[in-house]
Amino acid sequence: MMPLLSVRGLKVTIRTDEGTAQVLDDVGLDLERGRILGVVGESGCGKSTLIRAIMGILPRAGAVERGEIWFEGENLLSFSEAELARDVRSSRIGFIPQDPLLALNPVFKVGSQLLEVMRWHAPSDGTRGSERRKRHVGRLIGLLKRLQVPDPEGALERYPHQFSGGQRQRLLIAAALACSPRLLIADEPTTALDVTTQHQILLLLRELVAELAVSLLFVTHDFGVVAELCDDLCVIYAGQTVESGPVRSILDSPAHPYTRALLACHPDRATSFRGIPGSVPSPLAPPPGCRFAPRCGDVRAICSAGNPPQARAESGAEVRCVQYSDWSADLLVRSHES
Amino acid sequence: MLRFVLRRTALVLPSLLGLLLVTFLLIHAVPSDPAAALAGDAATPEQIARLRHQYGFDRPIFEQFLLYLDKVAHLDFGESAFSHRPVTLDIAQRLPATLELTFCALALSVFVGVPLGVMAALNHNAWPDYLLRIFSVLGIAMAAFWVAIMLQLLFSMQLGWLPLRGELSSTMAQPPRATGFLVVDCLIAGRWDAFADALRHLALPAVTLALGGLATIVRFTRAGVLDTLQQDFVFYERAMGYRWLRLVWIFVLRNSVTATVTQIGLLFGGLIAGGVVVEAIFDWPGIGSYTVQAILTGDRQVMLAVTLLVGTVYAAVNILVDLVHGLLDPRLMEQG
Amino acid sequence: MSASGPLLHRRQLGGLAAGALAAGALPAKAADASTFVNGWALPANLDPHQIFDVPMQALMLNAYDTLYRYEGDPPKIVPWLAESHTVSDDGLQWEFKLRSGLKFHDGSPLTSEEVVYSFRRVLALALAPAGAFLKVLKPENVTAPDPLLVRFKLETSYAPFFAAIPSICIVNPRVIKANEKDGDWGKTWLASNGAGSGAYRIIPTGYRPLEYLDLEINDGHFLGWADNPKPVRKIAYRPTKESSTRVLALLNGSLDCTDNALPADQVDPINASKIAQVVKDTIMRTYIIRMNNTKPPFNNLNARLCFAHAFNYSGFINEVLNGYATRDPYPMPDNLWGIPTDAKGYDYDLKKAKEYMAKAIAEGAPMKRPIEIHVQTENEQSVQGAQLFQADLAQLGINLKVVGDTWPNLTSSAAKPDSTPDMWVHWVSTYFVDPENWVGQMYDSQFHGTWKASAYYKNDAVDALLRKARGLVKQEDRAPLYQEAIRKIMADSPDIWIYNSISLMGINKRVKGRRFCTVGQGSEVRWLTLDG
Repeated sequence: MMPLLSVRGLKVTIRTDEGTAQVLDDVGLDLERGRILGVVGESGCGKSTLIRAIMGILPRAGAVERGEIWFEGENLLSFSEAELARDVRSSRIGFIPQDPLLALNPVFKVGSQLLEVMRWHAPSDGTRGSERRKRHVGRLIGLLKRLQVPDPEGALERYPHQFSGGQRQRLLIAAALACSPRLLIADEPTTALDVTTQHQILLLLRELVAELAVSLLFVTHDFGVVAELCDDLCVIYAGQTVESGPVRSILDSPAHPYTRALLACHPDRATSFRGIPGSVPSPLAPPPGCRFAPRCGDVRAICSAGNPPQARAESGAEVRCVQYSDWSADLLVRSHES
Repeated sequence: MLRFVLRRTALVLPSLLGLLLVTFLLIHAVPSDPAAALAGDAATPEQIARLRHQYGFDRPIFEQFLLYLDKVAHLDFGESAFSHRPVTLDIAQRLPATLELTFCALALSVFVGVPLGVMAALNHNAWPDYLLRIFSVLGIAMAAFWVAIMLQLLFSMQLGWLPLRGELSSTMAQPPRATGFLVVDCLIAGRWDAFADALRHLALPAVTLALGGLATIVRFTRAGVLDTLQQDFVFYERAMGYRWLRLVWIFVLRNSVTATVTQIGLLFGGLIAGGVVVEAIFDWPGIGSYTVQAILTGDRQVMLAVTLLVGTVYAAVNILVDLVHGLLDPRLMEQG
Repeated sequence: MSASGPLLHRRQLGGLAAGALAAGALPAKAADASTFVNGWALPANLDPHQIFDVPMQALMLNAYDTLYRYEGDPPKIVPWLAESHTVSDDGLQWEFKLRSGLKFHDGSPLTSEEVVYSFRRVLALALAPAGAFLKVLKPENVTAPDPLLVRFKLETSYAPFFAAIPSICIVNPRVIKANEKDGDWGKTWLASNGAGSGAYRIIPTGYRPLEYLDLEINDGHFLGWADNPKPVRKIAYRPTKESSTRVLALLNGSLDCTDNALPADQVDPINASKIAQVVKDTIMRTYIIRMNNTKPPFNNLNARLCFAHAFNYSGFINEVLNGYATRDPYPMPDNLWGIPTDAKGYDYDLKKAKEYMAKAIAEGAPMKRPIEIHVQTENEQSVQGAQLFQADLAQLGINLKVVGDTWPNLTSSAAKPDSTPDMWVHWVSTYFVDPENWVGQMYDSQFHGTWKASAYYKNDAVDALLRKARGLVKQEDRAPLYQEAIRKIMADSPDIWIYNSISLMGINKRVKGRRFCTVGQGSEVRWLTLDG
């Protein structure tokens, strides 16, 4: 059986004044039903673009050059904008944004924003008009209760700025779940919150995923969160998937030098606070060969000769690094010719 | 909200008093003789002296101001030196005509300007945007009188579709006046023929007056929408599958029009001022030509009353603008 | 003389407008064959006892009646409500015999009682039209010895009394008294209503000051309508403020006539149209540059003569006004009696001007000081005249500064010699047809302090002549005195007299039967018929 969501060889470019940026270049991931997949990477490595590509909302100057996004057996890239808006967003894919204050429309009541979504996307139950609206209000209030939002009825009548940060995030989780989607995509939803609130929300998410039988694609830069929440992990660097596999195995024995470097930086595990030397290369002029090569502590001459192929590490993770492949110059040539 | 209005109104009163005092002093600084103006061209010096005393123009200026304030408090604006009619009566007849024209122009510029501004923003840096930008520069640069004459030439003279001047045809009987607003009075009286005639007469002056404001509203709406489209919540709403038209025209627009609404308040003053030229060209019987006449003839009572009136209307419109801001954006209302 | 004028000067655009029309198709507007749409200016209000100017004269002639009236061109004073009059030999007692059966618009009788009320009201209000009477007539000396006889006893003999009789409208005291407030003689009410007996009746509901006014025919007018079988039944006053709009309205048929101050450059386009034409009438309205004779160098005769020779009269009339004015070298209209036709005026001659200038300088006149000429900014012609003068004076090395000003400000400045400008530009219109209206009030020193006498000219011989002429009754006795006075005034050259006006009025070709008189300037509607 196919995974619920499967991204294959995705390449996305964005035209800028200085040239064409290769923001995503060969990203792949699989999200199995009922599981939580963490997507990890530094800022600027293409996580947000990946989400935008899946939702079908790239910036005006952006374009999918290559690749496939399979969701429930359909290639989302073949959908028109109108079809995506009508049939996919909210109804099949729920979205939890990064900053709940900026994501909510400041001048409309929370209730009217949430009900606007349900009005177009909630599954039909045969009711219409005010009856339907009443059902929606009922479902929302139920969800808000489940999400431990105090005074759920009153909450619908209030404006976004009248809530605390954690409560706003709960509202948005409710919004994402309101139309019973199969997939949730969360874009660093806890970064703006304090640690206690963050923990509570992650716990809630974990419970809800299990309860409602949804799958969750969770984007973050925080391995701590990944460890707490995720089943599977996909590490992205400079627009490429560099390592993917079950969370446990990757955390226990990270294979890719980048993954290792990232883990080394995490406060829980850090041996030093040096961070990774250098910075993410500009997508306008990516380095030849392995994109991490300029920063890699384990770099070899061959690394910059060509794009390394996928290989399987001992932990069982998929890795894009020459260390794990019986990689050779003629293989490289062949892969280029094909 | 009531408290908000009351507080703003209380703040306006001293401003109006100051406005009146400054106007009073300015008018008295001009060395013209109101008694001579009252007496008319063929008057003798004795006639003028008698009037000067009768109207108190020979008293100290401070005393004159207090006397005037006392009268204003009783809603008595005195008598026009030019027409010898009570200023209150003249204004009661003329202000509605100006307001009718101004509101029509405002409505036109808002109902056309906001959609055009939104369209320009959605087509940012594409041809509709360039076209609208050229248009809005032209709209500001084109002198109202030139536009007015071109409209007259095209629609009244060549095509013969719309009347050239005035607010009602010379063969059309006036409806009984109840509110002073011609269009409204036609409706109240059930005079459909006069109603249609009055609307036809409104068209050209309202369009002329609307043009300058239209350009401003297009520009500010465009800028506001462009700014809002950059906001995170627009991406979120798209990601949540909002219908595009509703997203733009309701959820984005309401966030974008704050600056536009402010401009509408400011425009209102500009429209009343710009109305002077438009009213003259189209012989619109409003407050504009009345004021020009008053300035040319040194008609003090009229100048003072009009200043106070326009100041009041302007203040009221700006309180209204603040209220609308509060309704559009609840965060502002809480800040008071 | 009126202070109103176009707000903006857009002669070019007006010309463009008319030109575009002559070329294009002319949409015919369905005109009502019984409504005359009148483009004349409205007076400031409707009370003929408060306002007295050209627009009021035009309204009076249609809505009100007077004891005598000016008719014809040149104007003749003819019996109107009065059948005849007598005057005592000493010129103090005047009696007017009324026609019988006169009626106001409301049907109530118009007798000597109402005439007495009307004159007393004029004297009590003491506004513009009272000017000619205040000094010579006390209210109690207007009496009604019998219902058809009105008697006036004057304080002193004053010939212009009779000339000014056509300026006093007879009003209906019954309707006015019903609307009186605090003894105001119904001033507020009559400012927006009618109370007359004239050929047309004011419809007060159709009145908006300066904007529009409707009048309807008075079928019961005392003259009857036998002489005009198809009269105008409704007059719709629709004054236009902008000359471009005015011309366009005339050309599309929505206006039957313009006012009579049509810009000269509009004449040809209007005459080229199928629908309208321009009528030209010589009126009594003189254009003058005043000099303040109390301020040096204007207190010097040679200096004044220098200025009088430095104005390019024919250039102004022919180039700027397209010839629509007649050169008038006299201090009053050249078509009025009392002109000394043998006297020669001054011509444009810069050589002579230079000679006079040299003499003036020799006599110590400060010819090189900067001199201000004040103009009515809103009145294009007053600015143009000053600018032309400025250019010529510059050739003589005289520095003339053109200063923008307004009519009310100029008239109040003229109250004192010190505040009166060095020079200023204005017209003198016909308030009543008598030399008193011009030379009498302009050069008799007893009028110093009024704008008409703002030259502050004083010549005892002239004062004596003018006062004597004012006290005589018969024109043939007065004429030689005025001729003599004018000769002396012209020799002193206190002002620069430039032209007498030609009025230009655009009129729809369907308008027939127009009669012109300089008083009212051809605005009497009762003679008109509309074709079609």
